Amino acid sequence: MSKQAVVGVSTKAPKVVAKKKTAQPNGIVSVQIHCVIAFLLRLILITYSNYHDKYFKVPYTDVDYKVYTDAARYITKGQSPYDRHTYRYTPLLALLMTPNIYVHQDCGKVFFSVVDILVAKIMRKLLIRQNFKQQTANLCALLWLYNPLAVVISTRGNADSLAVYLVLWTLYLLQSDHIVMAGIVHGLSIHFRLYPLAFSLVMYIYLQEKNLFLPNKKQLKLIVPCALTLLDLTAIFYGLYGKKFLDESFIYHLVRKDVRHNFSVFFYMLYLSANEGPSLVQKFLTFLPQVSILVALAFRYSTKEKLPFAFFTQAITMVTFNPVMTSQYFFWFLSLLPICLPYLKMSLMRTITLLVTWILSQSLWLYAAYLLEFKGIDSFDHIWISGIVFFIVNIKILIDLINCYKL
Amino acid sequence: MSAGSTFVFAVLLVCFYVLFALSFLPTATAVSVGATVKGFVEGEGFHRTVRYTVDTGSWKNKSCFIALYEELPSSVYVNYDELADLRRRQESNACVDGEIDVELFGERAYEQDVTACAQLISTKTTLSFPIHQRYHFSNPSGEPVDVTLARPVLLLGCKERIKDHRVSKAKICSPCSELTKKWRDVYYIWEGYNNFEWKIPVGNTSRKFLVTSMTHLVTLTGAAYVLWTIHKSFKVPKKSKDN
Repeated sequence: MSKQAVVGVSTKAPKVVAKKKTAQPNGIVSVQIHCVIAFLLRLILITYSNYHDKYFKVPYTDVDYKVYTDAARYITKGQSPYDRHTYRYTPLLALLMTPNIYVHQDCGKVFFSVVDILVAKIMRKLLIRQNFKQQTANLCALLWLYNPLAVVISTRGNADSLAVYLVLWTLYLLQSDHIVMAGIVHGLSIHFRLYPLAFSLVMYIYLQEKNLFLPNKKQLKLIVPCALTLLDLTAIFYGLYGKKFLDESFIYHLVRKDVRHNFSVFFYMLYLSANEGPSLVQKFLTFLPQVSILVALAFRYSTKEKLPFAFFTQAITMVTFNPVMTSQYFFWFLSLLPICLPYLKMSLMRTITLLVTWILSQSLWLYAAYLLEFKGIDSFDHIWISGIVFFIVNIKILIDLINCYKL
Repeated sequence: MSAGSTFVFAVLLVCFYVLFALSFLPTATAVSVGATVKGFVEGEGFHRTVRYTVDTGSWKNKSCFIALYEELPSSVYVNYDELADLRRRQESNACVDGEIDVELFGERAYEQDVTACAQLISTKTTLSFPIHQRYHFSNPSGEPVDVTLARPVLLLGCKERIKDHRVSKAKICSPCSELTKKWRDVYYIWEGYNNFEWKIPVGNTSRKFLVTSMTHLVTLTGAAYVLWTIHKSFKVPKKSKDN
């Protein structure tokens, strides 16, 4: 085996059977048993989270989980979930969290953990659909099941596992040629979290045939159900909760201007101009790089087999160039990594180097932010410089991924 | 019985009933509560906890409640929802009135009035609540913003009337306001404080040009490099899947 072909040692089932080595998860224990083990691991962490929250100063439970739960409490009282200040999600999420009020406060965390397991299962199905061997698909699913970040995020009560499940489900349906259903799920996905909207262009181009400007039959099959789902859900919740629903769950995310410290490379620049607001030129220069890369990636990777990689790189681009970036955003692209892994021919040394650099650059930023947030030390310059370093590392990773992607 | 003695008897009977009825009215307790208060702010950054210890000497009364009322400057805030959560978990009985937007900058936020209350079951009562700093707009010198927490007002509320203390005019928030009909101001001796004054770091606007130009330079260069890599990837000959 060559030095290059290490990380994505992929084997397509019908073509290459035994020549390439494929790491096997465990010959005896099936994926189903791993799902049960991974779920039990999550249940243990959920139980621990109650102990941790009681005795430690920095809580384990995500602050957003309390927001969803409070919003659910308002729903149970017949009020609007948007009565909860800073609730900026779909009312569906608050509805899903009502067992937190009626049954137990951890029901939502258990639900997110179940969805996390379903994410692993759909990853496996996606890879099998792409004709990868069972072992390769199983290995990628296991990478998700035991990914510490995924485990921690879902057990802390972050709802992003549900968002990434909807994205993967859309991808799966599209790859299975269930275009209408893919449109419906994509509409639901955008309603749930706005970021999958960026994947729309590549999905549209993927369905392109000889038509150039006007949509063809397949494209209409995608667009119409997607738009109808989105409009129906918007109309229902607008009817129930009024303009506040639109303001909080859609418009806020479109015009979000959170200038408190975050991972974004633009943070300090936006903070310094917070009093007067950014100029039009500044806005243009902030969004131009992101939009141009998203469009380029959409055209470059719009074939059936390349679609997961298009989603993956577009998610990295969105997160890297976003004016606001928090660690939960990493989940958006990390959830797409396992399904692209078999296509990445990267040396082990380079993989480790990139991973270590990514973690170190994050740590550099986290230390500067810790000084500001918990020690009250003026570290704005350090946060800015470490934000730039983190941005450069993300760009380097994106470039290496594009260079190492081999179909 | 003569008419005169009947009248005297009737008057005495009325007096008896009046006195009997008055005995059921709350008595005006002539108490003078002398208290001492110690204050302490835990934490150093954006998230701190204000903790007060109220010592009522030898005086305690389980039918009474004690409260501390404080007007917070707009530089800091108490999170309405966080307090509601603490009350549900019975970790604190504090409440807040005023600005509820936790994302506003200090310069644009209104002030808040916070009240922490508890039953007077001991001579020493600890009252606490979490506070958070607001972000402030940057300034040309990068000079930090000063925060000073004012001393709180000590209040006492009992089911019995307390004669020696006047009724407070402080606007007590719910649920503290529901514990007793009237809250009365109590004079106390301030036994010192710690960390009640601090500085909030702010950005330096004089670096705006440098920061803006460097940020755009880095992001545009990064984007150009990615676009060039995508363009370059078109030219890479496709390898067979079997390879």
